[in-house]
Amino acid sequence: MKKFSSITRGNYRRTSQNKNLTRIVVTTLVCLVLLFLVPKALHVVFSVVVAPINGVKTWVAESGGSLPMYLRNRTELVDEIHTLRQELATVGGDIFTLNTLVKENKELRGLLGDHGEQRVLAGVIGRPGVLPYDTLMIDRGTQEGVVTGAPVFIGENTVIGIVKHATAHSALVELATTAGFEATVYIIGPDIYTNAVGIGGGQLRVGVPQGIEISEGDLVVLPSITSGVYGEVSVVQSEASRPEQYGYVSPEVPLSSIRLVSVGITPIQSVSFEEAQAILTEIKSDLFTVPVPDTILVDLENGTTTSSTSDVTEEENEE
Amino acid sequence: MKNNALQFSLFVLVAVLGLTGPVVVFVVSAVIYAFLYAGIELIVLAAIIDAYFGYGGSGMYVYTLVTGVGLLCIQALKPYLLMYQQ
Repeated sequence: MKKFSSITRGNYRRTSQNKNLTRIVVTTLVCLVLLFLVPKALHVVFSVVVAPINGVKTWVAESGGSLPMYLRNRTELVDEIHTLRQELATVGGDIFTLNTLVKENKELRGLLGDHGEQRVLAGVIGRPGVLPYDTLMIDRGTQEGVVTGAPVFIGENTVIGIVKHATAHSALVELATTAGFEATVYIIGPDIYTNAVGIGGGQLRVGVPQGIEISEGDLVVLPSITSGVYGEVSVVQSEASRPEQYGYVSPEVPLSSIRLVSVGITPIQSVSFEEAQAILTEIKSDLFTVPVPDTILVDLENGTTTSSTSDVTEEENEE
Repeated sequence: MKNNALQFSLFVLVAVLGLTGPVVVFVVSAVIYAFLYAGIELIVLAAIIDAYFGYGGSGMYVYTLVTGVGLLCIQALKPYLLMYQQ
């Protein structure tokens, strides 16, 4: 019987489709096996592949070359901002401008560790939502002193992640909220140590047994990385029928609004429990004490006593 | 020759978007690429993203898995979606 060409073509299409499906399944399995068996080797190899792309992106976003500046039109905007700031500053000492400059100065001093620790100031050029996973891309790299494992700060003392990979002029930062990131935390309120797990989307999750009271607004500290308050519990998920309850922690500053970060110059060292306790004591003291001048503060050391007051009264009466 | 050049250019664009650009734009462009071509190289690209950005994480290489499953679905649905083949 003669085989019609349409049947032949149909059979060829089915065979070709089956071949494609098989190739896809095999390729996926091979990639997954390699990712599980040799993740570090692949990471190093693909870092070389990704490096030029990040370099170009950094060059376009940050370089002062004519082409990037033409594309960004940055010079005119910066000059305009500078001119406007000068005009504002020279028009009769505007209090608002002064406060803005003071705040920005304070923010930059805090980022750079005015209390003595040397840090590298970096701009954020990629953040979660744009980049895959909870990662930040910053515009400083090994040439500027950034090293792998160094802590990354927002504000004065809040660590949000560590440098995972650094190239010459950029670095990839793994945030504490990335899925799978685990850390020991201390919750002020119930005053307990527990483990927190990053769940992505800028959130940490802490799990505690029922019976331990955690509330929205409880402050959360990461004592292992010598930082201040990391954030507060924003949502508590607790069902009486379940043995555990969860608190979801957000950092004080939303990740989408981070513009500048500072990077420590030395990698994070692990701390012992005693050191963590000492760090916590210091953090609590900083949180709950205010440096009131001696002339205003009234306490047992500075205030007058009853006997001295009585002596003065008696002297006045005698006179 | 022209087709190969177009495929290469499109793949480079998808790769750059995947490594630097917004995730949403990358997903849309990857879907379009998968519809136009077999798209097996997308799995390699997803593995690169997982290896670089996901290293040290929870170990669930989501991008590779999702890309593989997505490509399977697109390839399975292609004969029913492309009218001229019918």
